[in-house]
Amino acid sequence: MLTVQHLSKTFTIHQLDGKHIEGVSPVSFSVPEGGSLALSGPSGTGKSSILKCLYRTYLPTTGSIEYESETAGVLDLATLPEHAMVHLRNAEIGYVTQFLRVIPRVPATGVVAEPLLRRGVPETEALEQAAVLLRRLRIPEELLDAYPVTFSGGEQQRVNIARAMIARPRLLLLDEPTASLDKASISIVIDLLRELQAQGTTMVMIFHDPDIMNALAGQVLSVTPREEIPA
Amino acid sequence: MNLPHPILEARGLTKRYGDGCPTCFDHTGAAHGRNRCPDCGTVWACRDVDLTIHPQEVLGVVGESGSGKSTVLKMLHYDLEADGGDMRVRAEGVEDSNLFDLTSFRKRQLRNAVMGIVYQHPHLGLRMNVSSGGNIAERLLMAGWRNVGDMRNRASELLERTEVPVERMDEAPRNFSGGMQQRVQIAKALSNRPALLLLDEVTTGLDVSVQARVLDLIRRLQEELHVATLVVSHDLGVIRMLTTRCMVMKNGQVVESGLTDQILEDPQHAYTQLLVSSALV
Ligand SMILES: Nc1ncnc2c1ncn2[C@@H]1O[C@H](COP(=O)(O)OP(=O)(O)O)[C@@H](O)[C@H]1O
Ligand SMILES: [Mg+2]
Ligand SMILES: [Zn+2]
Repeated sequence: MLTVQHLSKTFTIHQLDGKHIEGVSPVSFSVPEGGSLALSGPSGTGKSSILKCLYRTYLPTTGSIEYESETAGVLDLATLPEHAMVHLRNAEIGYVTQFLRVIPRVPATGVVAEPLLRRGVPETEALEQAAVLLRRLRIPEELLDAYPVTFSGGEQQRVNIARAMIARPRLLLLDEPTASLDKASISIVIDLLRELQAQGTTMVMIFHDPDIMNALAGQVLSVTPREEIPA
Repeated sequence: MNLPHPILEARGLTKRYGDGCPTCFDHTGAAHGRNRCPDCGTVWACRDVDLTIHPQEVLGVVGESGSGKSTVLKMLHYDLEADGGDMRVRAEGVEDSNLFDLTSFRKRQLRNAVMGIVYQHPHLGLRMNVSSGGNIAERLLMAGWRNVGDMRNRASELLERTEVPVERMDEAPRNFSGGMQQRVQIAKALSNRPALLLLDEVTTGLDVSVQARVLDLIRRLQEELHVATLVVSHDLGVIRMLTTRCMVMKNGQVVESGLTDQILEDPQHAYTQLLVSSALV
């Protein structure tokens, strides 16, 4: 479903006289539909940058990202027109990081329901589904209608995870979404992700904890430290 | 992918103050850091700007003051006459031709039928001495409404949506706070159910807490109404909060455009990098 070839990312910092910073050295991999690939390796090797390239938060410098979409055949996410990428993000691709970055002054259920609303689910139904999922993630009842900015790190992460998975994306990108969760919450998250996998969601993931990684990943790609570029 | 056609397509938008000379472009534009030609004094307020907005989409235009953002928006709204370019709007009853070439009568009609605008300065969008309900009714009259009862109902419905106490409907905006004036402007802009909403620095100059409330309102209206919207702002925080795609302008030219999160996290152009690194977003 996802075939990445020679993907690389180099940042050019104009304020530093056009200095180049290697973010991702060329990488190739593929993930079958319903499969799960973990990116592993020391920090600084570009794992998160790879995910951001897949989501187009970073513009890839070289390479192609062939994605088999639900309705439009194979698309290259590296060069897809922007509004088509927006459509895919709304309809098919989810992305979750360790940090909750949400619109302020929206209650937790609203934050989580938003991807459903974008897909046309009626508001009451979307909010109900959001509450169910948040309860399952053991978010206390009195927090459901509170603003996540005031939540603890672990609670925010669970809101974040709920938001990313509620619409059952076809492709889910996970970047350390459990870093500050306790054991009990982690095992709930693992269960939820496995349910998604069973329903056919394809995943590309980064988990530092080898136990979580092994519980979820069908294949592991070691991302090697980047080569030093001679000055 | 079966994506809808753009609702607005503008190409080559150009506005200059002055006659221009053969060497203008050797000295002006983003690469030269100025929009005024030193040889002939012509100001190129905006030059060759292309822009596309899809149904339900919110497009941002960001850049420092004087970069030409408002000029672009005002040409689309016929507040300024374009010196070059082509504009098409796909909406019911709109001709499929360059909308800059219409007669001024037809331009006014079209603007009243398909566009809504909110200016930074409320006095540009509102008649300060006419009641807020009257302001909205005027707009509806221009859009062809005739029944007084319908207009009054529509006005109170909109004022409620935009959180203006309905009992103040008969009061003139002159007496309102800045934030409330903006909310009346928003109500007025939305009253004729525009296909395209234009927002020019709508929170600039408001207190931070008032800004937040106006932004929340705009975001909520977007979620409910899905109006295709152009958001012009010098504030990257506003752009981040409201838009999915944006363009960066400098000295009258677009230097970069992309998905808003990409522009913020992986800016390509030197100017955008500077803008992002010096902003607190
Ligand atoms: N009537 C005018 N005569 C000369 N220059 C003008 C006039 N109106 C605007 N300009 C110039 O056009 C440029 C773009 O202005 P504007 O679109 O208002 O920028 P922004 O909205 O990005 O702050 C500025 O350099 C401005 O000084
Ligand atoms: Mg302006
Ligand atoms: Zn000149």
